[in-house]
Amino acid sequence: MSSPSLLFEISSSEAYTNDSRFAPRVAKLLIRKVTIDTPGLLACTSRGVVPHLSRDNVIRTKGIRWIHVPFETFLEHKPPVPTLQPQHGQSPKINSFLRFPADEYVLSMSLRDHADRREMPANTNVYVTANCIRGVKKVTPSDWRSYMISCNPDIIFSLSDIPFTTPPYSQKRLTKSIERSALWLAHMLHSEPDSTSIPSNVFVQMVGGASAPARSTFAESLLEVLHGKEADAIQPRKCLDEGVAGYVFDMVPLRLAIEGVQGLSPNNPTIVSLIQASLLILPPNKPRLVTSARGPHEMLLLIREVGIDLFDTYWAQRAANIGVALDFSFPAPIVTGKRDLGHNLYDTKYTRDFTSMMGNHDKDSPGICLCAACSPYSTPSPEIIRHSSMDEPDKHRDSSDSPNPPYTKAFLHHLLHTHEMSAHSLLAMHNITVMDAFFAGIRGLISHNNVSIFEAEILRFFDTYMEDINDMSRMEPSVFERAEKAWGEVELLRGKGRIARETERVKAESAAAANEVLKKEMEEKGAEGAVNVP
Amino acid sequence: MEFQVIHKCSTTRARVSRMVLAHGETVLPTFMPVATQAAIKGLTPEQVESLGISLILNNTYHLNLRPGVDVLKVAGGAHLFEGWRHNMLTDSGGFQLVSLSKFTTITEEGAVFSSPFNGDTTILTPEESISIQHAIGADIIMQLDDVVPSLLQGPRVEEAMKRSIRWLDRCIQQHESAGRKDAQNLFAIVQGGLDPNLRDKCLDGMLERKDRVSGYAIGGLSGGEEKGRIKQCADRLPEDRPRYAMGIGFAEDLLVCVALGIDMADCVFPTRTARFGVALTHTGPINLKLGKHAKDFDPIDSTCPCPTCKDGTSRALLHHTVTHETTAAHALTIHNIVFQAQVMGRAREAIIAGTFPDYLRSFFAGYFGDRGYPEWCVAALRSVNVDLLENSKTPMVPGGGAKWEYSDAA
Repeated sequence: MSSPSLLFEISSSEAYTNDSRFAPRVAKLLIRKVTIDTPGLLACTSRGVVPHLSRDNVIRTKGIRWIHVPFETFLEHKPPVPTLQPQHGQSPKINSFLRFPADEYVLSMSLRDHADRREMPANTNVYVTANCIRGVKKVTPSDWRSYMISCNPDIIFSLSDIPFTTPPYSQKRLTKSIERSALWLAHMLHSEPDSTSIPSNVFVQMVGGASAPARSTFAESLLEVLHGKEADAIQPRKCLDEGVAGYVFDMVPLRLAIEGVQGLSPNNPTIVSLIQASLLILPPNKPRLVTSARGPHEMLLLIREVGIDLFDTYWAQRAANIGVALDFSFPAPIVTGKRDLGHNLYDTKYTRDFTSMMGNHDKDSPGICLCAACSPYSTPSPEIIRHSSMDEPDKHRDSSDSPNPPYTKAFLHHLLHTHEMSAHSLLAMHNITVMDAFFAGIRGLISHNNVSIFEAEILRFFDTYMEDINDMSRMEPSVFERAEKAWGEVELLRGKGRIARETERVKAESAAAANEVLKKEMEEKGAEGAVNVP
Repeated sequence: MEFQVIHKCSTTRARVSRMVLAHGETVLPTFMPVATQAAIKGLTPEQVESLGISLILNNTYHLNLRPGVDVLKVAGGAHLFEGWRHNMLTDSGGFQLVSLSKFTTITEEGAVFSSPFNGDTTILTPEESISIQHAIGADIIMQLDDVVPSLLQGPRVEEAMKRSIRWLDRCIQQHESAGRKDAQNLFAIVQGGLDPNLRDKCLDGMLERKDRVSGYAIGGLSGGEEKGRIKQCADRLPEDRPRYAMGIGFAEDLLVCVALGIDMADCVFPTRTARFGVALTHTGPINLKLGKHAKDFDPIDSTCPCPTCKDGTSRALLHHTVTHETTAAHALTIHNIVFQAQVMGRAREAIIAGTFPDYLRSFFAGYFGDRGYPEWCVAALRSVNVDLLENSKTPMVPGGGAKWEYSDAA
């Protein structure tokens, strides 16, 4: 069963003719009935679900239209459970299993979780190492292809050899990486005699580490016209790139690789220069996807410098995990002074702050957050479950179309300090919605077709909001750092294992108290051979 | 409060009624999920409301600690603070003070808590409890009672029972003089342990105060035990007051209590067990952590109207995510809340249709048919003219009978 093809339509932008292959662009990506406007977002999942969001809350979060699913957690069973999903009509198995209807969501799958930076055993010519709860598993290209044909997601990330061993990577290692990745891509594109099994939407993770020449070589290998048996294997395509629907750039291994070569090469490579090296000779009319970007500053930079189209919401979701409510917009509001990208709601200054998470906007100003936390809507009365014929949920209820009052910073602050899970549900819905509005703002600006306006707004954004990075020159730890610390404290106090810790502490304190009493007694009684009890 | 009995079962003492409070209507009998710290764990008020829930419980002890009365006053009460727009009940704070702390002693003045670290004492008096509940602003508030463990015997039980009556008077006094009588409804709590004489005496005392309380709770009895004391209290409590069994949550317990004349109950069990990976069904609980569910692609219950089941979320997906992802805890919490509501909703429907005894029989057959009816269920239902064993091949078994699902490997 093959996936329907993806269409990527770039709106023409005459202003961006100089060096247009790297210019920012607005586009529409169409798969089945789903349209994704780009630049846009994809939501990360964990074990197949959006963290903290049950299905009904995913539906309430309109910004979630594309979900990305790392496959590796399913390796704990052989065969992996999603491949055993019974077929329901035309629905791809993975959509049936995870309950994301195929005509409402784009679903992409990679083997590994892109944000996982843990060191892994080396990949070999015949397998990639992946992580699951039962430890490291070896996945061959054949395994991967068969899993993907069975699951049938909209978009498959081809198996790439991305090292997660300690950098720097030798020339030899990078060459292997390039060769294996190309080979495995060919394997994925291989057409069976039974031609209904051609995976048709394959994205490739661009390899080459922190070496621009290596990255260029990989691009060349995608464009290389194949001959003989190799050509037959991937026909009707003539080169690998004809079977590639999009290009992926993973920031986590890329940053690791760059760190590994700091000071080793004459011109220190940057993320931008390395992505440009990959894309220079490749067709510009295919979607470019970045995983694990580190916030809106980096995203704006990548859109401006390399024309990136899609970003996952890893950073925003992580913010939700540590109690940070994002509060920024693009274009930035006109304000004086620099501000944080969000609020660390653990901070005691929010104890009595009854404003919504998105700053202090009044009703008529633009930038009201429409998420389920800032603009909560009650379920319409006909859809409320009635458990008996006497239940009348619409009685005594004012039936208005406006949302309920927003959840306040004070309430989120309370939920965070009492270790309540609903804090993270509300924050996840909010933060993803902020990102969705951020990209809508960007698309609006690019669509004006005026380079200088877009660039000016980017600079003004950089001037308005402090980037959240570990910056040694900053006097104060960043919002994220403070939030993470506070999260850790609450976790220690109220999280898993707290009863054991509490018991240990009480025991230790009573032991210390008992020791004090004993010591005193021995001193008073002048016991023979009294020792110094510490 | 407006309270009206609409239908009565002609066989048992069950009844269906309607209760209208400041935040809307709740139909009874009903089960109240517990929002311990101003939230049903993991869910937003919009989610809880969509499940057809109109009445939840908040814990005074926890809200008093965090966020505290000052924040709640500035917020305008717990409804506004936590975003719950419908009916709310608060307990008095007494139970947690005793159950959660080794350092509490009960005196006539109130429950005295002494911190072992600095010797500071704080005291929760009946007046203070009512004041805190006023600040929280729940539609139904509970008196501070002197609670003792249900299995305790001896003079302490009688002392606690008599003190509870005296504390009821102090609560009534505080409630009325604060001018909150019309906005919030005070319930009394009948104590007396397992001693029928003490229960009778307590009932005597509290019934005298009938015109100054809006409802009656039966306290000090939680789940499983002989339902004799519940029946005794329910038989004597006035028909025109709602009856609330505190701390009852197992489906079989709920239905027996409804048959005995109870209108409301609360318990953390269904939501807590959900977070531990257990889904409740009409044939017993399902432990989704067990390997036997790893490849089961059916939902928990294809007839269940909850979002988790209607969406078709499979046991296999739940197995894969349960205890690893909060998402699974939310999906199961949603299901279990709806299960409890369905058990009570079907009871209401059956009482209205005059088929409540049949409903009892079919529920118990579905739930316990595979292993036998617990003795205490048979006895309790016989006392209200329903004989589970009549025309049934299912045997009676001794013991509590609480159902659990075990691994096939065990």
